[in-house]
Amino acid sequence: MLRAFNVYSNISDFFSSFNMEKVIDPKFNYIDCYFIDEQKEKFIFVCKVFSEKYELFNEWEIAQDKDIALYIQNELYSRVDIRWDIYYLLIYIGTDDLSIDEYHHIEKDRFCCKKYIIKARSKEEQLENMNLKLPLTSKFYELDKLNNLITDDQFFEELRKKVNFNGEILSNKVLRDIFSNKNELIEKLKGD
Amino acid sequence: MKDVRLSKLVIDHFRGYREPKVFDFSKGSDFTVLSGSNGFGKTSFFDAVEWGFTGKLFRFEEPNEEKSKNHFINYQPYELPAKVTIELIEDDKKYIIYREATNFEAKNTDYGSNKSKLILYGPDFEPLYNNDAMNKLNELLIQEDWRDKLDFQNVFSQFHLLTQDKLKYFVQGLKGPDRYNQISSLLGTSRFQKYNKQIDSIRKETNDKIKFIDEKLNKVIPNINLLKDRISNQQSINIDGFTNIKDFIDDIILKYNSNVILKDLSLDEFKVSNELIDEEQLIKLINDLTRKISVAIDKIELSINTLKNEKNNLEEINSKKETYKSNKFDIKNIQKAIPILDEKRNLIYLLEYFDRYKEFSKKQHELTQNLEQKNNLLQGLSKLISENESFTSITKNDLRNLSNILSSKDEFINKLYNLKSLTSEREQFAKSFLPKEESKLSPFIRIVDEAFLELNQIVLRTITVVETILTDKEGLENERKRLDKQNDSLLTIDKKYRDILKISRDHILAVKNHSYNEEIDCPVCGTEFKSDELLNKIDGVLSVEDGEIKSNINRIDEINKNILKLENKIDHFLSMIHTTSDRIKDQISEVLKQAASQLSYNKVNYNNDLQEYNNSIKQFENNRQLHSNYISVIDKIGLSKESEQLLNEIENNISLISKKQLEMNIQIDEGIESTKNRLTSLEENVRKFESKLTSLNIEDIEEDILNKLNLVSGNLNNYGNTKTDMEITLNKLNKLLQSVVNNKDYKEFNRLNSLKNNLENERDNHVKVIERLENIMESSEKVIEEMNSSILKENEYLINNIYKRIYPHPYFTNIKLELGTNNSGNNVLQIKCYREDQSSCEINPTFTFSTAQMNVVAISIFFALALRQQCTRLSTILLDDPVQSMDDINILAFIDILRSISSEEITLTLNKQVIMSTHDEKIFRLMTKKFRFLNTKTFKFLDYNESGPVFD
Repeated sequence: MLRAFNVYSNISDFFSSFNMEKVIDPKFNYIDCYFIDEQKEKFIFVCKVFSEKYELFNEWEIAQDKDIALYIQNELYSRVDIRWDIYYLLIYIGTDDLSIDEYHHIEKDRFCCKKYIIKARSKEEQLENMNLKLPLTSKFYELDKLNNLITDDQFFEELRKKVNFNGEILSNKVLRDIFSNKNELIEKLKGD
Repeated sequence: MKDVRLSKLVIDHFRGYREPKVFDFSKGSDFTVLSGSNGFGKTSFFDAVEWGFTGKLFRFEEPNEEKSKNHFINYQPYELPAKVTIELIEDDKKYIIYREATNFEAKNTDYGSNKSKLILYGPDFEPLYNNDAMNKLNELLIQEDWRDKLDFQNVFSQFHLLTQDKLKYFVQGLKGPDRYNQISSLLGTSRFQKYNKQIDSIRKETNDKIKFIDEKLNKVIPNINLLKDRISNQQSINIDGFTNIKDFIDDIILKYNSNVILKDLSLDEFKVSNELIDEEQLIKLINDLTRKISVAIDKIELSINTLKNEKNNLEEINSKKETYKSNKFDIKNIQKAIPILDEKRNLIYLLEYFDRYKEFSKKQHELTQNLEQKNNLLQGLSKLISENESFTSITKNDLRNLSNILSSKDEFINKLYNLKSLTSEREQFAKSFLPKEESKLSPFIRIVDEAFLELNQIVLRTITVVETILTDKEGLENERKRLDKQNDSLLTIDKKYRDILKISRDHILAVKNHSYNEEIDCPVCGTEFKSDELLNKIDGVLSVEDGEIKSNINRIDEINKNILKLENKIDHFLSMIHTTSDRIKDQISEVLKQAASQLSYNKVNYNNDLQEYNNSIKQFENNRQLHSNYISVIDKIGLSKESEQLLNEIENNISLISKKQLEMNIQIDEGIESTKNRLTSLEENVRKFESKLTSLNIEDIEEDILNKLNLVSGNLNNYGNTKTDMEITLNKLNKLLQSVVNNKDYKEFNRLNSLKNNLENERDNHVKVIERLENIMESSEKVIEEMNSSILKENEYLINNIYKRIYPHPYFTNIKLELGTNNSGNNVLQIKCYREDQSSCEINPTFTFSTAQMNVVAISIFFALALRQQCTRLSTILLDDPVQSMDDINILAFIDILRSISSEEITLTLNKQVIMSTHDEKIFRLMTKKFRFLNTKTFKFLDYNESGPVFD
């Protein structure tokens, strides 16, 4: 099981790669901290680590009500639009599995802000879940694998491999303009 | 290459738009949001963009009878033609697409091809119209790699416009194969289908050719069958009692298959066919048979030749067998007589030449004695020469040693010892070397030995004297040494003593000059003296030399004189020895000269004698050579070489051999050589005859030859008969073949048959071509399928990411696009969803999901493909109310996805311009909040009245 300290080390690394700052406010009673962009106008990611399942279900809501809704949204950023972009990350490091219904119970809650349960039994799992759920990741679009055009010549090459006779008789020249080269094609197909 | 973006849109008299409405996206347009209630003209906005680009609306593309009767492009009632102007911007270049409806008044529909005209304006070309404009648009908007492979009109709707209608249609409305075709089109692989269409066209053409050939074959085959029957009937004949050619041939085959001779020749067996055969097969059979018979005749001919040869050989042997026997008898007799005749001939020869041998024998005896004498002489001379050379060499060596000793720098006594050693050795040598018998060398040896002996004696005497002198000299030298040593010690003490006296004297003089006192203490012993007295005493001592030292010096001088005398004596003896030695050396040198003269004389004599000796040997050998033949006959018979005894033995042996000849009854008149030649000739004849017997495998010449002759003659008869028979048969078959080949029906049959074969070949070729064409089409489909599968796999990651983010279903959180074939063998694309934790639990969302969830599935697929597509350069994605039926949470997630498109890192690559609409005021407000830090433009549709949509 990851320790809370390690979890925050991973989270800090993750957010610092997007130039976000960590803020720990003494007025927080429940949540641990939040991360905010440098201009303080785009995103707030509120974080709280839960090590037990019962703790998660007992405390997630009160933390949201008191620290996020009442304090962050209504006091700290009460007159700025960033309050529309608060994400509540419930980082769960416990070993008990969560059922899909349990996820749904929290993540489908529409009050106050968007909530994501980040399961983090290991560093890899934590980063994978953050990459998948948070609107920050750069691996979302798989940009390095953009579709390239399959050329006619590649198609012809694959076709030659696929036919059940000697594909070499199907030259690129013939295939490119089948009608013009019809007689040549037929003669070649008659051969062995 | 820069992407192309939408910068302005003007809609006029298009669908619900009665007045020109301008949508300007030029000032900031990563995101454009259109909002307004349903029916306010949002969808018409998207229709306008689609129609402007393509002249079509995807949602009305399905065949529909009513569509062809209705007007729905132009604003109603018809006032002006519908016009849509799209302004595109590429870097600093602007392009304007202008589309105008052409039929806005006629009663038939205003939708479809050729119902609008297109004009394209650009900064670097004249205005282009319709097809030219469309081609230019392709050039502008299709990426270079994909140009000429895609038509922008066809792909616009797929990559740039996502409408609710289309999403539903893709997931729910389309059947598997249609969906496959659509995805294939989306992925750009559908263009390869055109090759299949072309191949299919050739396949159909080839199929028509086959049908044509089949028709021809259908006409030809009955004619062939008819002719075949007729020809079969014509095969009836009358030959050798047979009424049918086949029976006649079968009879020939059976006859030859049972022929023993043919079996022996290992010929292929003729095969009999039990089946009925046609004319062609008959000709083939006759040809085959005649060919085999010809081969058989050739082989029989060869065998007959072989048999004839064998018979000739046997007859020849038979005629010569008596001669052979007689020859063998003669050989035996001659072989016995030859040794006796040979010996008798030799004895007669010895007797005939005996006198000559006797004379020779005498001469040789004399020569042998002469040679012995000469040999002794030579040996003596040789010994003398050898001794002379040794003597001269040793003596010269001794003289050299003598000179070396005398001229050496050794002490005289050592020279004497060396001389003693040299002379003693010489004495020893003389004792060993001196010959026992007196020879010409003896006087020389004696003189030299005496000289050395004399020197030896003088040396011995001198040694005794010199040794005494040297002993005396050594005694004197030792004494002188001792005296020198003693004097050295005395002189040292004396010097110290005198130094003390000198110092004391100086001290006394000094004290005396500074004191008035006459008395002074001795500085050595302290005794009181008067200073003058003491000075005088000291001066007295200093003035006298020490007595002992003086005595010693005198003695040393005397010793030196004595030593000199002794050395003079030694020098005298040295001189005497040199004188004596020189005299002896001269004496010996004289002797050596004489010895050398004698040696030279002896050598000359020796050479002369040796030449004489060699001449005698040569003569001896010559004589022996002259009589070598006679001697070898003597040796061969084993007789004595002594002439007297030899004559007796010859005469006795002649008498004995004559007696033996008589006993053996040997009567040969010819000479021995002729007899031997005759024997050789007889033996050769016998060997040849026997070799022939062996080759014919004859052991018994009486019985075997006759038996074999009978057998070969019989075989020759049989082979001849068979050959004649086969030649007759061959003649018959050839005539038969000619008659069959000349048959008219058969010629026609052949022509038609050949035509049939050609047609069948042609048909087979066409069938093969069709099979391969079908295989190409099948393979092409498979390749397209594999390519689609591979591309979809690449896209599946993003599709799933979008789907999971929106999170429409609690359990089925993954999408899978599966390509396969349906029952009819058509390719189908199936969309499946499965649980994260149970990948085997798959469902078809079409039947399981709600409409909202289905929308999310479709949006995920289309949005992912639209984002990642690389074939067009237009960066605009139009989304018509994509969140229509999503719940709030889904909407938030979708907004997050849209927002991330514009995040800095991704914008660099994707650079997408998104234009979307929503009917929901709250969502519009949420979006404006969410997109607040992006480059966003909004258009709010407030109402709809007679002039069209009303904007904020």
